[in-house]
Amino acid sequence: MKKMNRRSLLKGGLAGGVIGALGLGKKAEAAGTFEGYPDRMGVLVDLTRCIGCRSCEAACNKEQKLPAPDKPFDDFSVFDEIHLGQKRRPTEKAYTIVNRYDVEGQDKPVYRKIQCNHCNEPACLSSCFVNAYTKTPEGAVMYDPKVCVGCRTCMIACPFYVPAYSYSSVLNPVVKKCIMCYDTRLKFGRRPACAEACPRETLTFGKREDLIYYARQRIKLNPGKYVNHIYGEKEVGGTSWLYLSGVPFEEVGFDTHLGNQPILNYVKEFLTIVPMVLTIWPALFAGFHLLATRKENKNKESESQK
Amino acid sequence: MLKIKKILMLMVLVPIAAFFFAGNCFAQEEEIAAGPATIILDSIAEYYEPVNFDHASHIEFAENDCAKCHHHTIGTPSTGTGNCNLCHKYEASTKIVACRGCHLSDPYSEEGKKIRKERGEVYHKDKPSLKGAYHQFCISCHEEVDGPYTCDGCHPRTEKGDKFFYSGQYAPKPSDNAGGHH
Amino acid sequence: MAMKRLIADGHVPIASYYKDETQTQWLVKEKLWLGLTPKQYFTQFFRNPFNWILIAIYSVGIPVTVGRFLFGLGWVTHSSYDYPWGLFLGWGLFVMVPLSASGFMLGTTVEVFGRKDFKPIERLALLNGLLGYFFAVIFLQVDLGQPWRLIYPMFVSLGPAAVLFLVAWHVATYLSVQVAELVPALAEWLNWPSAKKYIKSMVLGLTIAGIILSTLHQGALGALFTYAPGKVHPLWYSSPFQWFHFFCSSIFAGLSMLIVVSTLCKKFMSWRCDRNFLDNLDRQTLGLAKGCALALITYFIIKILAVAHDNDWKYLFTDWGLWFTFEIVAGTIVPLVLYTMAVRNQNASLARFSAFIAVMGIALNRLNTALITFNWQLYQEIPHWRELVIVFTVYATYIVTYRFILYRLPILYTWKGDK
Repeated sequence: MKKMNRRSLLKGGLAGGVIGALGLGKKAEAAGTFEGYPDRMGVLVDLTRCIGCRSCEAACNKEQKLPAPDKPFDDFSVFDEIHLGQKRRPTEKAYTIVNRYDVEGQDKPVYRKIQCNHCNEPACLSSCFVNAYTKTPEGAVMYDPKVCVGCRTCMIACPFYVPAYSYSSVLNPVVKKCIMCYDTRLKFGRRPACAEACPRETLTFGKREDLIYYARQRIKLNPGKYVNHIYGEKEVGGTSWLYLSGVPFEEVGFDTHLGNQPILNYVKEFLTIVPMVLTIWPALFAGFHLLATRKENKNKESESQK
Repeated sequence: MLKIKKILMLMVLVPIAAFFFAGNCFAQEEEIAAGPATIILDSIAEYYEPVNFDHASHIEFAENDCAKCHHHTIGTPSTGTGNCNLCHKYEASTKIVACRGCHLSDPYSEEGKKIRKERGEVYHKDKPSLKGAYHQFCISCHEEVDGPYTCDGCHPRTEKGDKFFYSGQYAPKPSDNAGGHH
Repeated sequence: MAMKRLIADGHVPIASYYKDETQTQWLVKEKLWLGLTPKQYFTQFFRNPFNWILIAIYSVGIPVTVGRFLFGLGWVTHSSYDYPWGLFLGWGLFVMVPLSASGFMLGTTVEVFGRKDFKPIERLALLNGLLGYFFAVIFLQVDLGQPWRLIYPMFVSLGPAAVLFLVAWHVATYLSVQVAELVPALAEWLNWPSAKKYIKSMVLGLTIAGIILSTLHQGALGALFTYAPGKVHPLWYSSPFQWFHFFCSSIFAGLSMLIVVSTLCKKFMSWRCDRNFLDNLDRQTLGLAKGCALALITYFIIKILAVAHDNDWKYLFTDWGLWFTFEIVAGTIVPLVLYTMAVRNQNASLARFSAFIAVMGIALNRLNTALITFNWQLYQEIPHWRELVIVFTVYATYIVTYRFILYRLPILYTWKGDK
């Protein structure tokens, strides 16, 4: 029973067939808290090490067989790209990107890599109505393009603005996002391509719990070098990708107001009323009906008695 | 397979060489100016040419203070992040001088994992790989002393590297830039 | 207007099985032509100026809509990753669905609470519900990346823990319930009494199913936004209240829409309405207005409660706060006051005016939540013009379908000879 997790709980709820389909299956969601797969892997991103060489972007492009980029990967003018007031973000053609931040009081710019953070309790997964997302025991959040309908709720739900969509495709538009190289590497215990390509080991691959230990050690052993916070340790329920920074996280584009609750918790308030409405409403309104039409029925009865 | 063989060979050869140079260094402790004149760094050269590292000039740059680079090991007291001597004062590991002696070229490979296991590393799991160590150490210093700190500054890119970066002859044509997303 | 002239010329709109003099039955084909000759039909069609507007919309809209399926979503939208939902869902789903809550509201009033005095307008309410939902699904089909996979959440790959799963199932089930509820009208028109009898035997069950499904999916549409706590502006977001805001506002939205539609029917389609409908309309409008006022005051209170609960007062004095205040004043307080005055003074015209404002108010609220205040910390997405064209086209089709049915089926009039 210890191995029972939310997923299997849900499947159990589904066994209820129609009841599950009508929404009662949601009850299972509220039951039990899932601590996450114990051996899940992750990557620790140490922003103090990143020099913005974009090797990770090139490696990702090659590994995931993505289309050619608009500009070469050694073209650093991309750091100045501002679109609608925003710096670059992951797209259907690039699952990871690096942005540059000029932080006040820092003589060197700070670079930040963005990709799917592979949440412990992914919002994309919990918002998907065709179950296209899976959190693997290795930690990757996988996406199954074969069942995706294209409602794009996952893009609404992702607090990190990660999933992109191949709008340009007519017959098979799908969500495009980092899968931590699960198919080609993670499954076999190997590092994601970006982590391997990184020259400065900005990206340290390891068991998530080890990474948290390393991060703590780095903060402790290098006083003054880091902000005393591991971004992703607790944010939205924790993520497999973790960040260390030498400058306050909000100054390099991190959303520091996400809170530590998994996104699913915000939805639970509604999910808990579902079984109540399903069970109480019929009786309640049938009762109303009987009360409201009592007079009418009485009249009918007395009429028929006459 | 070839690549792994190459790495394996290096792994065997390099510590031997390192040991030789280390002995050399200690033997002439007073004179210090020792070690190999150039070291070819090519353990994972794929997208870049190997680096012809001019060790001799770097000794000059470092004003004969080996510990500036060879942190943890040479120099008294040992500098850098290490409090190595607290535990390792009387151990053979402090005699290791070459970067490769401690920083594995691929700690994530099966071989690397095996070596780490054999060494029984407990406190140094977070140690960077050889590539990581070079780039962290060299670039930080180069940025300060105005040495080359771009990729091509130390190692020219190979054709394979150009392809990898979609650069040079592999650069995307301007016409491919159509279509904006936000 | 064009029909009025024909009727003045002696044409009688079909309202029974038999042609008056000969006692021969109308053929379905004749019923479809409204008992006119094709020539007469087209003459009245082209005399109606509204049809010219429709032709204008379609001449641009059909090619663009076809283009969406030939060239993909990227051709008609800005392909935004930050705003994955644009006008298709912002308008087509989040505005259309609450405006279609009339079906279950009137169903409940008449069938559950036994208020037979609302019977004359019940069918219009049911039709308004059915078409609103049906076209919400059409809008969804335009927006979905792979519309041919619409049934996947039902049968292929199920994600029962998702709010959208509930919406999908409930909208699908409720659509069938609404079709069933309207079968009597169709049965009368097609002369198919057994179907009507069959539905009548289960009307109470259907209505209660409608209440359950509506409560949940109207609420679920709000709950969809609870997935985006940081993206929707705090004044429009409240984790515990979101579903209740959406549900409660759908009550007056549906009723107000019903008032608006019935007003339009009375004004532009009076030839099709019978005395039973027209004579009872003012009384019923005021009854609906009373319901709207009650729902509006509840909605206003829970809106303020949510601000207090989440302690969002500080946002009230920002620019967004001003916009929020505008929405609350123009979309809630003004119609609330006008409805109350209308009920008190028995002024049906005033009720109709406030219904119009309430409908605008609810549309503003849904667009605010889904598009305008969404990503309030990023930038404002302005929809692509083709997106707007498609919205107009689909909405025009909604109106055309609506009118097609109202012209023919016994919605605004009582079928004769069917007792």
